[in-house]
Amino acid sequence: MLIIVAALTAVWLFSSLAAYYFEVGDANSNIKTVGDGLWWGVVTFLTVGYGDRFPVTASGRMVGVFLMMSGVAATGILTARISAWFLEEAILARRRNVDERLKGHFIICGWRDDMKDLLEHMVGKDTGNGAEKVVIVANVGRDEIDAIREDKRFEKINFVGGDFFRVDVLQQAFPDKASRVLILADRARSQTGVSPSAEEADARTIMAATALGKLAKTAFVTAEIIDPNLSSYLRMAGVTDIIYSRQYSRLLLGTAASGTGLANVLNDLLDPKSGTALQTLDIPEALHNKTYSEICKTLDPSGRTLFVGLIEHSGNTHTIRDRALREAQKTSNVKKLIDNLQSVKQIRCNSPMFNPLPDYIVPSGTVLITIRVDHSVTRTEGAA
Amino acid sequence: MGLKEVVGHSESKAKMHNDEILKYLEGIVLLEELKADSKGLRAFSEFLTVTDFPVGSEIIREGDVGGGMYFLMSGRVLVMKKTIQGDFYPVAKLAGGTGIFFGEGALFGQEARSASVIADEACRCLVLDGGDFERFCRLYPQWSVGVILRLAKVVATRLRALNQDYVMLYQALVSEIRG
Repeated sequence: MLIIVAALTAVWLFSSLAAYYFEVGDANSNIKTVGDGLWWGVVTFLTVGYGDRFPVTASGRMVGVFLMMSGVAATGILTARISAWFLEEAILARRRNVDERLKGHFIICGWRDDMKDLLEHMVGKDTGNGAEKVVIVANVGRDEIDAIREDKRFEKINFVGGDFFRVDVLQQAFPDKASRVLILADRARSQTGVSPSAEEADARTIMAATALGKLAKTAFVTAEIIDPNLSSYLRMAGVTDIIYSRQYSRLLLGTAASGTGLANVLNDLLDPKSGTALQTLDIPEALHNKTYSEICKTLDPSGRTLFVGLIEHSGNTHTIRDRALREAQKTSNVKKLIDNLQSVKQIRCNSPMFNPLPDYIVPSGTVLITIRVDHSVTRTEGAA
Repeated sequence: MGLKEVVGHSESKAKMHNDEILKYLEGIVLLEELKADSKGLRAFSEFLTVTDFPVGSEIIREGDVGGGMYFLMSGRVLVMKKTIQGDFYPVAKLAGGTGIFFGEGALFGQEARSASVIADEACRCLVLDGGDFERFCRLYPQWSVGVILRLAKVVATRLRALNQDYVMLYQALVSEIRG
């Protein structure tokens, strides 16, 4: 670029001074100073041609022809250069799907036909997930993603195209820096028009979970599986948060047998729009290793909150084990050390415990399960 | 060689009477044999240095090599160890005045310290340097034999406990691999 600028400047300077040299002696000339010459040079070189200054001698006109021709060529080259630069930027911007600076993000592996509805539950202010923190890894066309991005809320969603169970594809989503991963049981029609069977979908989920066990050591991985019998493979891969979508609908249908309207209860607990929600509550550090009843009383002196139970060893399996392992070594008594280390092996992550005894000592790394009841919602419904 | 008086990290002047130190040394079981001869304790005390440590200062750092042995006259110390990952955990709390001593391993060779000792309160210690101890032993073999024997007993007891730990770890490892 620098060479081009230098060459153009040289052509302009040389031609302007040459024209001045030939013109200055002529009586009819209007290029009388070096400044006149330079001005005429610029106007001619850039193919503007005001005509306020022009050569009148034959030699001066020859210089003019040379300058005009090089001007046309140079303008063409410059224009091409600049447009190529802009085009390159645009292509790069489109190809660059996931910002490598992203961290603490949420990776969704797989695709569903109702992806947009699903995103509505997961992205937004309520959930604390900005769209720019969400990465979808799925083998779908760009138009599908563009359709989702049309919605203002999901404009900034990141996308990696390709099979989510392939390591090279997963790595483009930077799983090592992610904080959460959801693997969907992907039965959506692929780009070749084939939709995978339930077994195939589960196999892919297990493959992705196994890969993520190595790639996303610090992330909390949730996986959806169709056949509950295959969930042991997910556990082996270190996934402790498993969603059995087909089993749930069967169980829900099963409640019809009791004829007590239990289905409505379950629906209200799961549907965020109902104003009632199952949620988890972190226990402040001051209350670690206190009894269950003491924690409940301290967190809610009014006694209005509905405490359901607790989840021990909640969170990412690697992190929990790592923390437990570090805690276990803090003794100089070898007998105790061995017992501690063996108990680390026995840790079952994310297993819920309902309604524990009031004097149950709650260990650290536990979260409470509560039912949040938004009274304003139920009241307005009652009034209507 | 007179009794050296050293002010550790603190500014407080350690004005100690020899009698006071001698009285403290009398209570130490380790030095039982020195008491038989009135000159024994006095000779031993000449190899000791009085050092004060303010709250929170590190008297011994785990992994450091050499140094001396400490008799804790007053104050309280916290014995801390490090896990492989570098987390500290408390091993014991020792209060002075009851014939407590630590760091005796440094008297028998230049080995790395096995734990850190931190002043939990302002502490006053009598420090016996490893080199000074050897000089005492060579100068007064008639008294030092008893001290060395008692120290050997302390070390032997610790070795036995360590052996038991070793067997326990060994069994745990074998049963772990067997599955």
